[in-house]
Amino acid sequence: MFWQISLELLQGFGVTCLIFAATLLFALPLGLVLSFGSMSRFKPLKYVVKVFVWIIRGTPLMLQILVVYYGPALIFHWGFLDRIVAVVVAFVINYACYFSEIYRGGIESISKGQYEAGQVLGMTRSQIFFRVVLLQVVKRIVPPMSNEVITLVKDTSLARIIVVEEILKVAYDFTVTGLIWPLFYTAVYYLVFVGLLTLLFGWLEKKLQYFKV
Amino acid sequence: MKKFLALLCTALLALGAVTFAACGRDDTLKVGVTKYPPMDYIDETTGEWTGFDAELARKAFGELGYDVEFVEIVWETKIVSLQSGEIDAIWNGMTVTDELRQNILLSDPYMTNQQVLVIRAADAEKYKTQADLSKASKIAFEGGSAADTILSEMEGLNEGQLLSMEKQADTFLEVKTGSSDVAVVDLALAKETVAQGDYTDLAYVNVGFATEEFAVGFRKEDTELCQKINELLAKYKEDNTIGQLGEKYGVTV
Repeated sequence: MFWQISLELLQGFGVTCLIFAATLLFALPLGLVLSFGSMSRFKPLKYVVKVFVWIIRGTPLMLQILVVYYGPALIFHWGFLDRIVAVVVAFVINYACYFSEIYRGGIESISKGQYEAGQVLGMTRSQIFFRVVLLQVVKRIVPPMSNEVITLVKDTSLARIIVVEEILKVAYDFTVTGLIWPLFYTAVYYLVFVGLLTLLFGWLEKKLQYFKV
Repeated sequence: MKKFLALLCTALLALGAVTFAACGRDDTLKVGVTKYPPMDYIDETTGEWTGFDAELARKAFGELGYDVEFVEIVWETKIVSLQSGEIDAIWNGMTVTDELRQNILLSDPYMTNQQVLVIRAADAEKYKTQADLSKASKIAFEGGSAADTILSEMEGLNEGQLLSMEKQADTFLEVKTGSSDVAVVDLALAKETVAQGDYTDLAYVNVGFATEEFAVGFRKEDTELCQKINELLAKYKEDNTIGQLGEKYGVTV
């Protein structure tokens, strides 16, 4: 019984991990694109991106999931995305916006002197960004990024709103049959996973130590 | 590097243009359900949806020539699920209310149901009549359910006693842990739940609330389908199909 339920919860946790991995995979690069947009010298683009980030950060993720899943069918009669795809799309958009602001903070924290030094050495703008600035930015944003990434692990439980069988949904369904403990037992899965992530980020910070500026 | 960025942007755009699955509504009829024993639940051995409502739905729509596909929905957003075409019908122990009638098309009622109190078995002496509800520190029920209507119309209760929750199933945990003293839920669900697992120290009490009716829900424009189901339901009442199903699943019809 215990193993049977552990196994079923583990299956649910597989879905949780899938949402987590897919979100990171797409949101990390998309966030960078958005951060360039919000720092663009081309004003219209800058404001469009700023308004977009405001909308996404200003509304609950749960609502965004509902909009992505039901919106196309309700408004345009287009039909439905696969549930899990809809969840990932909503998460990617949401997290990309948060990531973009972290990237922006990191990029703007690099002193102007470094750009000037690069120009003096005859480097192009993109050379300066990718060879000089980027790695320093990576080092500086690791702590805030680790915060967001850990939050993401737990935000996956919102997928329940459109009946995605992630771990908390599986556990909740057990309560309907009179089993309460699986609900609290799910904490073990989250804790182990977040524990591993914490170790990973600790290791990453150490690896980037030599960049001290 | 500029090329790389351009490529990245293109890839992301391509991703954005996800194709939508066409929603064919030919021979398959999608029936919205929740895990709500004994009306709709998943059989552990076969992994298929079963229960009083599931079996009745399969039989009725089968007779009309449809393949039934059960789709698990979130109960609070059932009307959105129906309007958006995610499902074509709701057949899940749905109590008829005026509010529902305004939004969707309801079939003729196919069975009656009643709300009962669920309490800790140790409190059996304390809660015997409707008036005893005023003694409860908290009363848990599903928001928008039949219990909600009953409790909001009842006299002698104050706002602070009422705890509106997302799902009926959640209320059992409230009473079990002592966070609430009483839950007001469907008889069918109460009967099934207090008999199993961690909830065996709970009991249900019938205090004689007015009976209510279960019906099937359709989109307003699907009048033809609703008409056909009404004819079949009348037939099933006549030939005691519904009565037999009730016996099989321990439901009082």
